[in-house]
Amino acid sequence: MSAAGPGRRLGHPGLAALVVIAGLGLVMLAAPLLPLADPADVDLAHSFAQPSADHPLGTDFNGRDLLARLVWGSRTALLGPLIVTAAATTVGVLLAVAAAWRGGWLDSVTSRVFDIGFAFPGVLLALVVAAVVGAGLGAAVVALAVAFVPSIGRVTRGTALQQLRLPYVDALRVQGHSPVAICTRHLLPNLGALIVAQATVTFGYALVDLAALSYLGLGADQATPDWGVMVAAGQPDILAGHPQQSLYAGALIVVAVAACCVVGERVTDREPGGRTS
Amino acid sequence: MSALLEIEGLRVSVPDHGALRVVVDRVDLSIAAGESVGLVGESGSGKTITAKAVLGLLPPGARVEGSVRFDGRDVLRMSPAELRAYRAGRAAIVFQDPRAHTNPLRTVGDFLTEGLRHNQGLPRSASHERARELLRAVGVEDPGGRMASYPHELSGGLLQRVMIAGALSAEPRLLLADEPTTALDTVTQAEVMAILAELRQRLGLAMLFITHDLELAAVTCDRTAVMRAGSILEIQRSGELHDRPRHPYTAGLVAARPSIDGPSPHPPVLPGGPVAAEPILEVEHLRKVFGPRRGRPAVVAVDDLSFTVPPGGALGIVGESGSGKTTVARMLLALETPTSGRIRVAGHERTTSRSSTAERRRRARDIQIVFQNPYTSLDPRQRVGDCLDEALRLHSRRDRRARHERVRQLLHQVGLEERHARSLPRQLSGGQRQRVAIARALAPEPSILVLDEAVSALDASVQDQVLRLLAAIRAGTGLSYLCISHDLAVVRQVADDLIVMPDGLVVEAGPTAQVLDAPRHPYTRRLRASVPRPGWAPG
Repeated sequence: MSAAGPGRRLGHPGLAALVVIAGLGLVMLAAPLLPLADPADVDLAHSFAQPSADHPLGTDFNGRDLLARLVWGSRTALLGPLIVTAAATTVGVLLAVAAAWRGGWLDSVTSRVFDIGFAFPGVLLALVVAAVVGAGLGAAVVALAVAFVPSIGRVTRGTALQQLRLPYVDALRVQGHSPVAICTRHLLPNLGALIVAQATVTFGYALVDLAALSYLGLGADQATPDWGVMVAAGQPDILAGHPQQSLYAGALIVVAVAACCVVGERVTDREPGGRTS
Repeated sequence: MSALLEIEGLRVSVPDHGALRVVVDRVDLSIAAGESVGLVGESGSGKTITAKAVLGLLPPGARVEGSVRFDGRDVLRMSPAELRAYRAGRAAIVFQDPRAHTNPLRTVGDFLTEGLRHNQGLPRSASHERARELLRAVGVEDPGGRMASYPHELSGGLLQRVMIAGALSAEPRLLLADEPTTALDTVTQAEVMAILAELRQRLGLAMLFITHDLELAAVTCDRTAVMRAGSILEIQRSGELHDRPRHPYTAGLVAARPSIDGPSPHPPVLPGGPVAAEPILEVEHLRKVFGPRRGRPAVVAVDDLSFTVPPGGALGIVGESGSGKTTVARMLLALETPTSGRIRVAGHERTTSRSSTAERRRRARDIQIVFQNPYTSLDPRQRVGDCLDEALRLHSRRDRRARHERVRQLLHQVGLEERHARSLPRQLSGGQRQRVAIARALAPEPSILVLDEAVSALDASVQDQVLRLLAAIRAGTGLSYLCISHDLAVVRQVADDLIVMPDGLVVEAGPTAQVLDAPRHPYTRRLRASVPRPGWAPG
């Protein structure tokens, strides 16, 4: 089979989803450079203003520019899940690989912990944490990161076990390589596609969960622009005939999550590890 | 004569690095109803692609010219629906590796009845009855009980019979068998071939038998075609082909096949020096018991095994699959801990499975291994050059340039070219991959090399080259071999001495020629009788 480029591997929907994610990331990073109004600039005279040159998407109840709030809102809405994903993936993969390699009691204990953790919803854990240490984005991010470790760890462990049974791993052991070298130089690259796929999907889930927590008032501060906060803040206005704020923020959440799921699934489908067993 | 299958001017090109590469060219082949035709060639010669073309199973992007007519209808121009009906009912295939083609989560019964229910529309009870019948037809004992078994509970030979039963379920008129016995030991191979022969006769089945083993094709097929580099060199009645090959390449193939009868064509040349030195490998009362675990009784894999290998010597261990041969190898390499017994490699006592860095590296320079399966013994993501470089980096203080030079030497030594250093394993043929595995094993310059069925998956001529290579390395460096195999002909070429171990227990041992020419134990006799050679009939 010929080497397939990323475009060939993802297909058109996957590529489109990748472009959406990249676009959102770019906007997030470029927020300070964009010619936007101040997202915190209250102007009660222009409450619920119609879209205009000054306010391309109009304003909210307080007369704040919706576009600016959406763009700046992407910072908490995307950065939080990014931290959750990075932390959960790192810890989950490390635990899974260690358990698969060592086997024995370490594997039994880790697997049981994963199973129990997997049965415990992340949002519920975050609610408990918020109840104990108080609401806040930091606490929510930590709680969600912990909650996502089992789902990543379980799948990674299974595939790692499959890979470790292959003779090439035995050959490397016979060559005298250390377990750490074999895991980092050979096992992890072979799990790469799986890890990327899981991270993408986790990012989508984390985005929804964090937005939900912010919506409930347990995540991002009510004053900071954040998609989840915006959905909640715009709720009373819907009945007043101004659904824009909730609608735009909600739509962005849906688009971002859908894009992540599509990319994640595409990568999983093309995962070479699936063919080797 | 009207042929059942008629291939004319078949030419297949597959995409390779952006360009189309011709892999099958100008192939003409016809099979009459009920006839069996052997298609012999090395890996990469286009045999399997030809079979796939017959089934319309070519990879996407492949370009096909010519025609493949089955019963007068061109397979290459069938609509998807016609193709499905054709594959479901008229032509069936049995693959090399039955384990890769069964779903480990579904029982034998599920596997067999699925096709019967979906393709033939049999109701549930009738499909079960028919599946049991099929299992009986391929010689499976207790078919009712076997229906509830999972693939991993079956031996390779039994599973291959299940695959044959599955292929026959649609009552095809043509059976394509793609190396169906290559993964099996000779005793099981003989059984499977006997079943195929019987079924062909009883059902009037035509067969295209694809193999790298000219000897096997010659004794089981009516006619045999020899294929090389995508083209058929000659096609003749099997006996003629074997005794009077027209093409020099065929003559080479016939000659290359190591024989278990004659003396070794490359007698081992021992390097000068005293032979009475301390053995390079010493094993005493080695025993390995697995389990008992979760209600399963303990299994004695190896029982009271003792042997020595002198420096520069070569010992063969023979037994069929599941006889504990591989467990012995794994214990020698410290991949498995013996239950009891003593192992001494190159003067170093193997006490516990201590694995300090120094111990691990020293062990690697004592003993290395070449595994059987060249498809899984290399990291699929690592380029050949990096793979060898990694081994060298660990075991020598050479700088980058010197390592690069050594990689070149190693590649050359195993008959590969410099450009292969940039290849990924999947871009290489099975034979080439095994050469890489040998080069990797040679990189730490070990004192003894374990060959665990190392040439079993290779084609006859490649096998011969590799065996010659191994003999040359042994003569040049004084490297010792421990050759583990079910193939008596291979063992005959490699080993000075032989241990016969059918079931974890040694039944016969001695100099190779003596054991093979005058086998004393019934098992050794049976093993010897199962090797295909002129006049041999399966079963």
